[in-house]
Amino acid sequence: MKQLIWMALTAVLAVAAFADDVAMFRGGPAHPGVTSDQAPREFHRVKWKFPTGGRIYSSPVTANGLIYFGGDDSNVYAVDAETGVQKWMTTTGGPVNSTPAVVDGNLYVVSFDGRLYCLDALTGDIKWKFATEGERRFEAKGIHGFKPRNQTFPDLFDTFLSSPAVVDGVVYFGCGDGNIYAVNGSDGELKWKFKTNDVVHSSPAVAGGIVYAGSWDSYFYAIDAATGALKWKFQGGEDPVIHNQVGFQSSPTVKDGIVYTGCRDSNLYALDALTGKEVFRSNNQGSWVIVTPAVVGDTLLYGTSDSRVVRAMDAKTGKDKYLEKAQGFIFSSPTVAGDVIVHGTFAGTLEARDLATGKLLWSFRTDGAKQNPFWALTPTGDMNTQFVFNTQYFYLEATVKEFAPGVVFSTPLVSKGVVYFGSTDGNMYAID
Amino acid sequence: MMHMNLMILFALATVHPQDSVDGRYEGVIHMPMIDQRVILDIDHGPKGEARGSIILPGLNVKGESATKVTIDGDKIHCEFAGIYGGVEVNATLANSGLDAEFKQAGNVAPFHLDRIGAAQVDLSKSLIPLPDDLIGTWKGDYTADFTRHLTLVLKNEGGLPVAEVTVVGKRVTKVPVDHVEGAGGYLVIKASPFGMTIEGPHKKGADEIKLTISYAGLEIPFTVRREKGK
Repeated sequence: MKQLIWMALTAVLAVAAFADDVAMFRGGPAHPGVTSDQAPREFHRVKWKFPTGGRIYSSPVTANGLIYFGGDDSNVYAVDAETGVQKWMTTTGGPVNSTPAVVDGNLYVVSFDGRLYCLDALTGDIKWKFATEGERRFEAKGIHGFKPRNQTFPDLFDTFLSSPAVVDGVVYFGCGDGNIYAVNGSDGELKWKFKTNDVVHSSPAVAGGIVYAGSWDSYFYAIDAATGALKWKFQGGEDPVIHNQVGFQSSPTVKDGIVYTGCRDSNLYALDALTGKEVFRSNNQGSWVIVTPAVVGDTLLYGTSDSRVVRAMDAKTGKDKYLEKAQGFIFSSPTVAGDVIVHGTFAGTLEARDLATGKLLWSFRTDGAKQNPFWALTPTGDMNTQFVFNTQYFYLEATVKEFAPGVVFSTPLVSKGVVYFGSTDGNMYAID
Repeated sequence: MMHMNLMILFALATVHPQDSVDGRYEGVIHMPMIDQRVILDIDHGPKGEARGSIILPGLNVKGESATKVTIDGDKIHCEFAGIYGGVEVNATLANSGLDAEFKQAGNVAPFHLDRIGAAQVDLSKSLIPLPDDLIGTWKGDYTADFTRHLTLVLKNEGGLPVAEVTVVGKRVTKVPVDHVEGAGGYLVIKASPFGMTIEGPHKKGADEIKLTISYAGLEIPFTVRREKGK
């Protein structure tokens, strides 16, 4: 009997260890965003902070006692999880606004130089690079109402690159060239590519032999993981005038036969994973849903941009459970760690909330938010539009100012009671 | 006994400056319109040589290795030639940190750096010698409109990696290489004035390397083979 209990215990521990070892965006190829690790219910201290040369949009993952992430200073970093001391740094040819995946000793990450990199996870040495047809941001004439109306602008809110999902030795990722790629993890050989009609910066979710990803062409796609053949596609909203309410920037989550994805058209869609038939939609009156949703038990969680709410609902019906106001726009996906939700905001805060009620437990302000350069934020965390968008022809200036105050785009990682996240102030933070 | 004491005193005198200087320093330069954070790391290598690197958050400068570091008593001088315009930091140990002057592209600003912990000096891979199996002459052809012959001479000089690249097409071009790294199984050669990069993985002991040459938006794969006897 003792032996049976021990075997059962070992099996449970092995499963738990495996779950914690999936070093990938949102904790695995289906993007669960849920960990059994408990996030602190009270803020205690900054355990360490690690400075980089640029902003951080990438999300941290952990393996081998290291924290891995990318920086828009073109570097991929491995930092000791305990001390915050750099183990290695490898430079790519462009900003690394993608989250690494670490599998079988290899690290896979996408750079704005249009390449998928495979690095040795322990040394950072480059093993191979796979060249796509080239990265680019989503762009459109007069996007978001920018002037002049006939000028084509890259979308300043298209901040993330697609993060690789790795299943059975195959690396799946999207690209600004409009393709969704499947590449052999061992040698970087192309397995297949699937063409959409615009930028794919959504990170593919893979479950049940199907790859799910959205495109800025307004469609959400389900593709056979083995062949690259289309299974089904679903169309979100369109916005041919200012291109503000169009495109799947969000990355999907797959749970219990339903695929959940946010959309720039301000809906959160729940779709049947096998057929693409709409199960329900949750509308947010113009507010984008950029984040990747999390599903814990029967609860679906996500955050919104302009209305800046954390929203919890029944995962099968879409019936609201609670809506709680955050301190800023939310691009950072919610991580559920034990009975706590953690997420970042545009106001430069990392917020911890009670899972059951959504109420704020504690909030941490980044160095950049405390400094508040250009007075880009109001004391309540709103964007200070007078100082950020202070001319009608504001595109470049706004880009610099809006992202300066320590914005947290990065999705938090919770491991061994420590919360890790990056900020546009250039720091990777570890707090507990 | 006196001789012994003198030796100990001498040892203390030589060790002390290192101990007092090595560390991570952080400060802010008040430039017009913006406060620029600076993180400076200084330590000493295994042969006692002074080393340094710098981080300029927001300017995409992370762990730029110092091309020159001199320490004279409480005075420190660091140069970072790899940063556009060249950066120099002249500093004096003071007030639990450094009173310093920052120079870049002809602009000068005084600032103070606080000592915040142990040094974490970044050493560029371009400072690591090439492995023995890369040393030698390699030749290969690539085609862009017409076929060009490329000769690559790899060697170490003064413990630093060096690459000489010659391209023979309609004329002979000696490529102005300014960055070489080959440690870790991946060769990277850059010629910034040409916007050219030659790179690829190399296998230990192999007599050929599959490379990609990138310039002017082109990416051309080609193979170089070791010239026999070289």
